[in-house]
Amino acid sequence: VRPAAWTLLVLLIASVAAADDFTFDISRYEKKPYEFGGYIQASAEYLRLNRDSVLYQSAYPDGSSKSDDRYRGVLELSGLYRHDIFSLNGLLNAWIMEDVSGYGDDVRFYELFAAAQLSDALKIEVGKRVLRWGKGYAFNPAAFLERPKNPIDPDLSREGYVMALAEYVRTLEGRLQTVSISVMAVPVGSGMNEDFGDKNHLNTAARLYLLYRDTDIDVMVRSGGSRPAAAGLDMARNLMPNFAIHGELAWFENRTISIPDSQDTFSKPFLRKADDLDVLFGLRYLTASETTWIIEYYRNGAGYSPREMKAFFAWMRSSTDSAPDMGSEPVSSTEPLGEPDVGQDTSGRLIFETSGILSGPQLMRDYLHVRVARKEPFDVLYWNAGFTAIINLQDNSASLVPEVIYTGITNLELRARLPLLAGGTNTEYGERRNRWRAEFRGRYYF
Amino acid sequence: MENTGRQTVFRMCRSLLMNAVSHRAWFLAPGHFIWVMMIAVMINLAAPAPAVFAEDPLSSDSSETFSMDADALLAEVDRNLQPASYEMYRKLINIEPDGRQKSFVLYTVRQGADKMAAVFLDPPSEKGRSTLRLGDNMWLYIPAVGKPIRITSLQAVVGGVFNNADIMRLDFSVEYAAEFADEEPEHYILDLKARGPAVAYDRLKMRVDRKTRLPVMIEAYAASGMLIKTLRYSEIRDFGNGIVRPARLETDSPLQKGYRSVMLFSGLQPREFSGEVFTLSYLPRIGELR
Repeated sequence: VRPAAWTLLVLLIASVAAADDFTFDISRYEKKPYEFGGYIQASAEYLRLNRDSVLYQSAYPDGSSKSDDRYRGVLELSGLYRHDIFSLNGLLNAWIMEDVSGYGDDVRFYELFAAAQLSDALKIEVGKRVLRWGKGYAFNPAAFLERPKNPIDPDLSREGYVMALAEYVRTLEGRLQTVSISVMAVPVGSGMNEDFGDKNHLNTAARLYLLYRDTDIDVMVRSGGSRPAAAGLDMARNLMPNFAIHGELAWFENRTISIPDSQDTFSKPFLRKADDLDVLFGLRYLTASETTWIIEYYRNGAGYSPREMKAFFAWMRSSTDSAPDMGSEPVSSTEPLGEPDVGQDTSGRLIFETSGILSGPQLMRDYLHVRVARKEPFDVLYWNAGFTAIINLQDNSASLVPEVIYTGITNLELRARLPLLAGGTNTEYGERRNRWRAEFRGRYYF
Repeated sequence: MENTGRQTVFRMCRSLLMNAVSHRAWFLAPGHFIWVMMIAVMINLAAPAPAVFAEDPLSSDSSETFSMDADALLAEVDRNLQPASYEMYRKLINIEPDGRQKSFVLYTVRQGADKMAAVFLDPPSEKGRSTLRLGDNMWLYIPAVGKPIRITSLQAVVGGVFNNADIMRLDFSVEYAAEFADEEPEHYILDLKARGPAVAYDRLKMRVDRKTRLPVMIEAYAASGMLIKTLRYSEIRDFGNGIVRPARLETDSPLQKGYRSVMLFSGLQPREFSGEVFTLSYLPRIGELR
């Protein structure tokens, strides 16, 4: 027995020693001319439908379905080729989907651009490019050259626009620590950025960034043309190490939206001048227990009033007319389908957008976004729990999304969500297609 | 040892008085305040200069340590760990109680006292995730989000016992004020107090090797006095360019029993960068500096 015990002890010590024999070869991580990466994702959803809602009646005219299933697959590939100061960058997105309405798929480049880094301070880029402007987490009214993001899933990939961009950055000593200025041109014509707005315009924009007294400040402008001229301002600052505030202002020149006529129909669409100003302010707070709170208020100047919203739903219930004319800030989403509770029809597109009536996923004017995320609750590594609420402050309807994420297996992210929609008749979230939805998503990175 | 005992008495008296003053105990009896302050002045005059060892009987060269300043020693520890401006690679390995491991590789650049940036190179799920630090300001860039967002040094970038404060730490002497706390035959014991609220740990207890002037072990405490984590340096290695320092840092935490994390250092070398590298514009391209 004794030799066996000694052997076991030696093996145990050897295994412990071997476990601590970590190696680190950095030659694997040296810069190479080519880089590839991406992820493959599969998700399954079960939707419990709201048979009394407007969007249900639109998507299921026969009224027979109580629930729906949806299955999606997404492949996203990113690639980079470097040569001297030049690089070629690409992001390819492909998705397939199957649900009650059938099968759908799409493949397209979200980004494909050439870049020249002329110095640490100056770069030039030409091609299809995704920009991310603004300091908001769920909403970005000052994101003038982007497709709108889904506030329930703001990190979803979005398609960029073809543009030319130049950026110059300079660091300084003193209260003004950084200055950068970027200018860009976005052409709109046949076959190029057609969904940005009116054709045959060269839209220009510029952004000035300052880091002044530990505060991030952006000033951005967009010329008129395909869309109304716009100007914006955003700021972010840490008031305490664990407490930051941020805000955005966006002003639009002569922005219009379609509203129902006096008979609550869009048969003779009427363009109303929208408020010029969008406002967002918010905060981010990290507690001692690593719980992050993000709270934002968003005033959507191009949103409907409750009366207009009610008329809109009345028209949706009764109308079989073709879509009315578009407002002046049209948007088209080519995301891989987004969330159905944003207001999708069965083809997966945002129904209010495809009807061309409103400028984005937000239909009305006043919203509150609250997100609470706890990293590693109960000190269990690699588990994250979160809860997101988007509350329409005008009609008191809400989208509530609890979620858990597990990242304990290298390169694999597992996410489960249970979005619930709360609201009565003629409310934004009460008239969505489903009452609740269960979603399971697996994403493998390579 | 007699001198050490005297030091301890001085430190205790000074600490008691300063606590009394800081908690406004004098406010209850203003007359006593004058006496307290007089005693405090006398003790401070009689005592050795703050944060200086009066005598080091264990050292072969007691005159050297007699004049040694704790902050100066801490600055020396910093310079021995890395140059003021450098690039380096690090590998983080999280080890779970059941032995499962998860690794991350970071490329880090630093310029001067308060500019630092790091990007994850591996695994693919974290690749491109970059962090920029300018003094107390910190931003995180996640490729999927596409823009930098402000974060705090208290926040964990990845799972594990290491957090931002460990990964994006500036020099100890920038973040902490030092005092000698105790001594051992082979080590100096430094008591480090955070210079500001943005520093993740309120207090560190650092054991420094007398010969190499390199840290051996660090205990990190919260303001409440609770031990948050213990960090242990090991595997002294010659990185070239005169840099001889530990190549391994291991940490565990009583808050995460059974879990531990290891950080391996490699490719550390002096390098100068332009200020424009440490901007939000450049942050998505930090990896291009390799």
